[in-house]
Amino acid sequence: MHIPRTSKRKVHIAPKKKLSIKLGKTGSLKELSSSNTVPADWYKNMVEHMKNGVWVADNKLRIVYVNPSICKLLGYTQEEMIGMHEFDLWGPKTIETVKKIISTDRKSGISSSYEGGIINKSGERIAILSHGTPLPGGGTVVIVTDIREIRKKDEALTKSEKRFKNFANFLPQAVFETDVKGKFLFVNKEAYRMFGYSEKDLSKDFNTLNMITKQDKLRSAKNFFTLIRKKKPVYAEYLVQKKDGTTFPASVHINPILKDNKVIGVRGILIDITEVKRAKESTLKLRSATEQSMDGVAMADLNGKIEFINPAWAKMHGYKIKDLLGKNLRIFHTKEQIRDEVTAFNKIVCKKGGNRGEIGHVKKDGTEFPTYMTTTLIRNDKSRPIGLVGTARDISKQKEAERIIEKRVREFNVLYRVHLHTKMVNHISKVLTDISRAVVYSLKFTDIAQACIIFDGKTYMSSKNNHKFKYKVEEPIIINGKKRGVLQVGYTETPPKEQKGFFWQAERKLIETIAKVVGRHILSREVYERYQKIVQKSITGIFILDDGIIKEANSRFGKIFKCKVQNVIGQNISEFIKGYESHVELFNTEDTTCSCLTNGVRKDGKTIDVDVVSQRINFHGKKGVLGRVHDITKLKAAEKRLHSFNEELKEMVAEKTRHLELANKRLQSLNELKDEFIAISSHELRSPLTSIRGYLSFLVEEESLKSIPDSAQQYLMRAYNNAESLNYLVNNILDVSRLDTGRFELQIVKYDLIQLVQNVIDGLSFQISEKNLNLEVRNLTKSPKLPIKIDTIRFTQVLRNLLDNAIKFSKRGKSIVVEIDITSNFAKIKVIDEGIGIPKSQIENVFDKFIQVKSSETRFRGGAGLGLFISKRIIELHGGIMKAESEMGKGTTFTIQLPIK
Amino acid sequence: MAKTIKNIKVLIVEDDKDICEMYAITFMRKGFIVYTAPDGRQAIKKFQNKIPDIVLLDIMMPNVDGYQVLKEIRKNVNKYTPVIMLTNLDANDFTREAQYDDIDEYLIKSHNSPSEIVEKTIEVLKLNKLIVDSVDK
Repeated sequence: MHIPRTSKRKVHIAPKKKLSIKLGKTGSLKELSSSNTVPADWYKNMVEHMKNGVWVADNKLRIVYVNPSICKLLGYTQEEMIGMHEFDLWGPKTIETVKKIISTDRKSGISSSYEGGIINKSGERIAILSHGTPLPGGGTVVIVTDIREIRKKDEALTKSEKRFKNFANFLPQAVFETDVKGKFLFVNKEAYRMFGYSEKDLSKDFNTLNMITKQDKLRSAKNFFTLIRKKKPVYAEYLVQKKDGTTFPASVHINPILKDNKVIGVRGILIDITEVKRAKESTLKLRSATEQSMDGVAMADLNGKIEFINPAWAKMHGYKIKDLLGKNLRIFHTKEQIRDEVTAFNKIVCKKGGNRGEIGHVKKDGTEFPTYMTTTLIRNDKSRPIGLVGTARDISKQKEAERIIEKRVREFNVLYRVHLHTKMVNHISKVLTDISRAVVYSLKFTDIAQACIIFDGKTYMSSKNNHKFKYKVEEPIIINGKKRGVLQVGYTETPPKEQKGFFWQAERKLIETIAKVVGRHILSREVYERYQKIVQKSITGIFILDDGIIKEANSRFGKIFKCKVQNVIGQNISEFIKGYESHVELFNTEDTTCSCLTNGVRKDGKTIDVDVVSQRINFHGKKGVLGRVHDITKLKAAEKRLHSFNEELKEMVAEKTRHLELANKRLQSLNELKDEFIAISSHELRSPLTSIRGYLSFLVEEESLKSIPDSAQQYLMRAYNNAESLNYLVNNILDVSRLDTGRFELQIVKYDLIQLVQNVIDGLSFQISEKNLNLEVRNLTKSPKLPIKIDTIRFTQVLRNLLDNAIKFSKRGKSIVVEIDITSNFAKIKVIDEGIGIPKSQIENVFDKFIQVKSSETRFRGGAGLGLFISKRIIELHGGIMKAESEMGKGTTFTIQLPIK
Repeated sequence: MAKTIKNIKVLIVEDDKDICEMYAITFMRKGFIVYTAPDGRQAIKKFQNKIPDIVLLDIMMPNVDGYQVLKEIRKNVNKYTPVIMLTNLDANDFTREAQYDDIDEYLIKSHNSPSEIVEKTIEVLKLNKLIVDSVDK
């Protein structure tokens, strides 16, 4: 990009290198002069013949030398010029520059170049490039070059530049120039407008890359550098960015700016291609939409010559696209079609600019098919028709579907009618006749069709006149797996022949379905009748309520309330059952069965007792109540009788109880008397015995016996022994009597069991030694003492009894063992003898009252057989157990277990 | 104040003359000093007059029964006199009217021979330290 140059160009030449080049001549001049090899005239000649003007001024800027060229340039003579002040020559503006140079460069001995103006003799300004060099001895050499020609060229260039700029500014595209780094050198107005930037924005360090969106930045940078490297123009499309951030697609064409075969910048044009893109895309879309369309689309000129056709159209008609282009639209119709349909259709198209409707088409192979066509005239800008566009849809499948649907509808109609007739309220004969009439419509040729249902031996006909079937379809009516009847449908005359027989598959299917429906209806009718019977014959009154109003009731309900069922329905339940509403409310919230006993009012005014069971049910989508009523009047009466009977019974029982109590009291007193009697009798029995025994004991003492004769001694001993036996017997009888009356009381004390056993054994030492028995006490408790709570007297009695028995039934010289042992809860005492034993059959009875083991050996042993009975009861009163084990001839073991605690 | 049997005074309270004599003979044979009383009233009198060392007491007696006698005996708090109930009533009947704690022994006449009664009496005396063991032998 060109920056407009100022007319006065001040060029500071870099001090060293350039100076040395410029001074090369002077330098070499000096050398030459110093070497004296070159004559002085050589310089003079050179200067005199130089094209450039040269003058030399002294340090007061007075010109001391001029060469002819300068004189010629300025129009002065040499003489005129010498002595002139340098400032007389410079233009007024240049003087300022020179003054500056004099004060700086020349003082420091540096030569400097500058552009400026110089005034010639006639006062004209001449643009020059001057080069001043201070001389070592003071003064200056100034070389002046006329640059007027160059300036002229420059101006021409500037002018063309301006034109270019103007031109560029008027371009509808963005035009720009940048340097190699991408910095803008020039931007046209359109560019500013296009991107929304102002001049200010671009004057900063603004890079072209800022205008390209992120996604294209890298690509653009690459292109830019390719251009610089290869020096070839680049064309690309980028998405560019406005100042406000909005983007648009643009095509950019950039050219390198070459100088000396080097790229110094880039010049480019940017075009907004948003519209172009959009147009392209919409065209593409439209095209693909047309091609993808299921409908055939075709375009033709007014003569019908095909200009465009889509694949769907071609496929629909069995052609290929390439075969069709250029052909006439007529090939898609038969002659008949054109005559009957197409001509009329096209007339309307011409008249109204478009038409739609069903038109017959023909395929390449000759098959005709119906289509739905839409045809529109294409008009140009001046609304002159230039062509036709048409869409066609193959509707042959649709037509076929319509036909099938029509058939289906007919079938549904028949089925609907059949279902309509299946009503429970109608009598079965009416239902079946109605159905047979409805079935007729399932056949195609209804006029000559006839249907017939044979069920349970009865025939139901569609028509009154029974014609014979010529052709018929028969379907069994099956109920619960049993064939009960048959459905026959057919023609009475020969119908026009169809492709496949007289009956369609669908018709057969329909008839089969109807037979099933009839079967199901009869089944449900039978089930319904059965339940109806159950409900009607039920001995329970059944009713259904809707908001307190009776909606249904069975005959029993009427019977209970002595009225007809028809009169019951629609009435409020509270007219029949008292307090039912409150009862219903009670279980309104609960979802369970609820029963109540209440009173009912019969229509003859009598009050009856009823038992009502109610239940919430869904009655035709509403909340209803299902109730069951029992007449329990008789039951109630029976209950009443039972109740009174019960009362009588209670009274009787009370009286008896009173009697019993009295008797009991009497018994109690009697018992007390008995106690007293026992006490007294025991005392009274014992007193004489005591005397007898006491005195006899005196006599049987050894000293007394000696004084008695031997025979008397024998008598005495017998009397004494029998007195002893009597005493024993009396005591035992008293004990048994006490045990039986429960008046046997123990005197429990704490005592050492071992000591107690020993005491008993000590008391028996006489009898033992007399029979020469060997009595052994085995203490297995590992302790010398065994404290136990016990009635010592009674236990002594028990043990004495056992040992007495053992002694009694042991033969001489045998041994008896008393074993004492202890377990965690019980003290165990065993009395083991080697006596005659007890037979197994009797061992269970040894503890019974008045039992003595009966055998020849024991008969003479005496005793009332009360000892073991008493012993066992005493031990049991202690909370213990007594057992007996025995083996005949080997001996007997009695075991006593007494609780320790 | 241990005594020998010879010094021991026994009061036998028994309404049956035969039995009373029988026991009296037995005790006397052993060397006891024997007092007898045929009923409760006399028994109390004798107990107060003779001051026996031990009393053998029947229950069922005319006029005053054994229970009352026992009560009377136990009224004297200065001296404890051992009492042996010697009766033909069962212990159950006894405990309905009196307490075991008040007596030293309960003997049923028909269960024991007279000599056994004496032996038991001596045992009671020993327990009450009225006689010394060695003296007995």
